[in-house]
Amino acid sequence: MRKTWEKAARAALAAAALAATGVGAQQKSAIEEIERYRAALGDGNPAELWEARGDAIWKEKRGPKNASLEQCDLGLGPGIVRGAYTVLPKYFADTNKVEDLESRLVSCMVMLQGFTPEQAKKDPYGGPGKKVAMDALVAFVTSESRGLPMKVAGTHPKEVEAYDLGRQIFFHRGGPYDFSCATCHGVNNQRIRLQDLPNLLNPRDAKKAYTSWPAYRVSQGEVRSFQWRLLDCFRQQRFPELEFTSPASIALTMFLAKNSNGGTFDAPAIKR
Amino acid sequence: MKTIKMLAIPAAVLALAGCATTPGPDELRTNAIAMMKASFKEKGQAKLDRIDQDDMQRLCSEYVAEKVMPRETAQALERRRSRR
Amino acid sequence: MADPMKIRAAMSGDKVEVKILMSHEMETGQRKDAKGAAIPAHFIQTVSATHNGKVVLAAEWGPAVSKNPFLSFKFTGGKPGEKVSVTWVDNKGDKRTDEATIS
Repeated sequence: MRKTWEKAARAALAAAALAATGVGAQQKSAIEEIERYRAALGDGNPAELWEARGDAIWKEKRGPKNASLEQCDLGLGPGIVRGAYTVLPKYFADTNKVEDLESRLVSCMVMLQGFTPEQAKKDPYGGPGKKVAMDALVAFVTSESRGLPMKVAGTHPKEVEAYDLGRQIFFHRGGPYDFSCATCHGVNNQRIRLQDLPNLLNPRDAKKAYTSWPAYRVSQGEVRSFQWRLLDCFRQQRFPELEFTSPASIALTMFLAKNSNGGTFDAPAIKR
Repeated sequence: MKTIKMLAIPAAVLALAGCATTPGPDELRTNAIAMMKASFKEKGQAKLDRIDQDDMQRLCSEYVAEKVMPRETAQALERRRSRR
Repeated sequence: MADPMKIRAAMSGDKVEVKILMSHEMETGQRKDAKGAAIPAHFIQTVSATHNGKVVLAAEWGPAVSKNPFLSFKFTGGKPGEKVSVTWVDNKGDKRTDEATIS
């Protein structure tokens, strides 16, 4: 009699355990399925088309000075592209500014090719039927850092200042929705629809998120740069429009890039 | 005596240097807001005043992460808010 | 002028696996621009791949294929060092041909 009771109890326990793992497994499999979808897309990432175009634009003689960008110093010395993205943003003595990749490309277009800053910043983002140099160059340069660890120094006084200001901006609550970056990206396991939102204050998420931009957005058919990522986040917060390569955009990038130090850079990626 | 003096001078210089390079928390917030105002442009109905904060937003942007809002500040804020 | 394709061709067992990325708008003709005017259809209509002058793939495409399409297929009879050539033609008569060496 006692034995039967024990048996039944054990069976019930086992069933309960099974049910518990069942729920966990279901959630896990949904995430795994999304990962599988991403892996399948990654097999033929159209960002490669941008990388190839950017490689050609990098070497092309352009602008009033009829020069290429091949002597551009992206942070590791003139002409060194391999690994350059992992040290950006960085302070540059020639402009006396902290610059991210996009603002550095603008500076090189001005200094080497003779464009005016307005001309260099005119078309920062591609769109339907509109191919621009900037996002192709960003795709090319970032692709040359794939597989390397992020190592933003952030030690120069101007870099420290940019990091601290970026942190302030990250926590700045405002706008009609009363949002800050931290509202969505300061808590673990947040989601918007089916997208997991990284907690950018948690080192694991910060590395994973930062190292996956720029990315080809399947829904837009475009490669989107980190500047675009910030622009669109602020649009979703219903803030006014973040200006391309503005000081606030660079400071915020400094905060996020430095927090991703140690993460392996793995972009241009592909996202839904 | 002489050694103490010599130690004291570098310490004072260091303290001064610390003051000069590291802005205090208030100055940092002021600078960050000025930077934001210079970095955004109005688009449609989204004007630059959307960056402005009321007292609650200001305090909630200040006490973040490991920095906990003092109980009195939180209570005062609650009282002011509930009166409206 | 259209941008080059990215073509990879590699032996996979006794078959050649070809992976192609094409740069194309692939407009369906159903979409409207910001002013409400229809955006004219512009899409790849035919794709063909040849190996040693022999067609190994011929496809007819329509507006349902995505922007910047990716195409992968396998064929038998190829050897490393030989070339695979791919051509697409769109509804406006634009065309592009690129080739890759089998590795």
